[in-house]
Amino acid sequence: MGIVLHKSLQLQRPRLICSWPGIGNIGILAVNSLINQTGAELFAEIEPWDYFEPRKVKVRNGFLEELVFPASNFYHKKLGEEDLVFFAGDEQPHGDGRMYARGEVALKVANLVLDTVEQYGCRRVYTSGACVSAVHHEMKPRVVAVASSASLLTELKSVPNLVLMSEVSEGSGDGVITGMNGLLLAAAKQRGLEAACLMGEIPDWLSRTPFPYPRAAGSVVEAFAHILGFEADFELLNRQAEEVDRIINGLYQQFPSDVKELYDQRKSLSQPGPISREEADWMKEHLDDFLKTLSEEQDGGNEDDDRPV
Amino acid sequence: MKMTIDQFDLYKMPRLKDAALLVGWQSSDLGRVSEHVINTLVERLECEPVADLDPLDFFSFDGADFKNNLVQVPAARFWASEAHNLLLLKTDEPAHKHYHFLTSVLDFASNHCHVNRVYTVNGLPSMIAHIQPRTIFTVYNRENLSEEFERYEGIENMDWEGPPAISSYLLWVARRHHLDGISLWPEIPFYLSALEDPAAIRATLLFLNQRFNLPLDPGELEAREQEITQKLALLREKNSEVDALLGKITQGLTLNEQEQLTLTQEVYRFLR
Repeated sequence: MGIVLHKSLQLQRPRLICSWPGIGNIGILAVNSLINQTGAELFAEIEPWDYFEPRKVKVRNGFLEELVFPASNFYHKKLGEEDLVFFAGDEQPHGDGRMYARGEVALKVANLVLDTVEQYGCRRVYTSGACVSAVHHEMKPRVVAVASSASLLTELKSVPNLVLMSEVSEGSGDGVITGMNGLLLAAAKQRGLEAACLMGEIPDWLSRTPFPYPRAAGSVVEAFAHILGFEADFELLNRQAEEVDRIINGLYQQFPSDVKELYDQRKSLSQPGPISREEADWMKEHLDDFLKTLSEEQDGGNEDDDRPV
Repeated sequence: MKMTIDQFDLYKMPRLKDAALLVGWQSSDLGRVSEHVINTLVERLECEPVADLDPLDFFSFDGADFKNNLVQVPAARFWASEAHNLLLLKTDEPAHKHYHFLTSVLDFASNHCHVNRVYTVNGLPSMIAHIQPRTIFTVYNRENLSEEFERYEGIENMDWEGPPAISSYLLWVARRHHLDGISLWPEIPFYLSALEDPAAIRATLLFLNQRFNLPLDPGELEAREQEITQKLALLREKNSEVDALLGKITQGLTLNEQEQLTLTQEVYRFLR
């Protein structure tokens, strides 16, 4: 149990950029985009069976060809003089069927990821996820950051379109990053590594839908491109965003008129941020039934309804 | 006298050689095939209990399940028939640590009981009528293993791509342990899935009879098959919708989701 190394590498103090699926899959979309754009190559993976259940079996003419587990892969790219390690998890490790990892299994996976990069002298870790915010979907999502140290926060403030959590959460900068994208930060800080999470903004109501949100992933990629010093290509993410935008706009057009009027006021706010209690109550009151119906329609053709073999 | 090995309470170490392990799952047991087959083997072959796997690590103890008004306790028990060189396991599906559970089962079976081959039994819901013969679909964990089974009647290779059942997971782990694995999936008319399907149980026992040269007589199941056939004929007389739906299935037609639900509910209410 542990790590399978596909290639032996000599790395010099690499930075780690990693993500697992979460709200809008913003972080994992961004990290996968970075992996593809930089041409990073797979060099290691986590053996899955102690942490994940198999997703799929392939049986052909009676022969059990393959059992497919969620992948947890490490990729490497030398960008200029710098070694980068990317980690992308297909699924958050969970021991009790929850979407977000927690507890012993989650901590073991976090430590496996950190053990792997620390042997190469890694000193800095980035994770990426979503920041649920009272933003309008027509506005460009910002990137919201938290970090393990004040000096790293200062450094991050120079990134365009990036704000600190305290700038969007009524000045407090308090909150929780649920699941692995948060847990890894804590595990890294505990080891004395520098760590930061870059979160793409997603409108509160969209965080409750099953759609990915590539628009925010694009903002996160833009931030990482600035940090890493390379020119990013947004063509694919933009194309994906356009497809999702069509669905989002379709839903938005169905909003009750009073809800739509209030929601549109967000476009004129200069500092939208994480949702307040009042806004959460407002959204619950007006959109819960609407989203519930939507969710039921989405679940209609779920493959998991099939009887497993 | 009880001993403990790893996570097992051991009652008796059986003398087996190149034995087969037959696994039946008590949970999600469609047509009640798994449980009935293992119970029949335990009883008829006068098997002796071998060991219990400590359930604490693998099952949820957050309440109690009931079955036919009886409280169920999660369990995984091995029996053995030395005369027939068989190890049997009747178990609930683990709630967590699946890989660890399956590895523990196979380690115990191969290291302590000299098992070199694993069989599993599960019911497979199918769009067949209860009066039609039950095919046993098979899955193998080694490519040429199916050739051994071609001589048996009513056996067919499975094709499937989708979510894995615990039996498929066990076969995959068995391959990693260099053990041959075969899953037996007798067809169950979907509307009998929540009930007992004596025809599927009988088909499975007949196969095991031939495969392991066992002295089982599944004849008494024929009487139960006939009883179900007669009851369903009566239901068809009383209920024209059920009659029409069963008629469609008998003609090889497919029912839509609502029709399947209706038929399953009506049959369940009538036969339970």
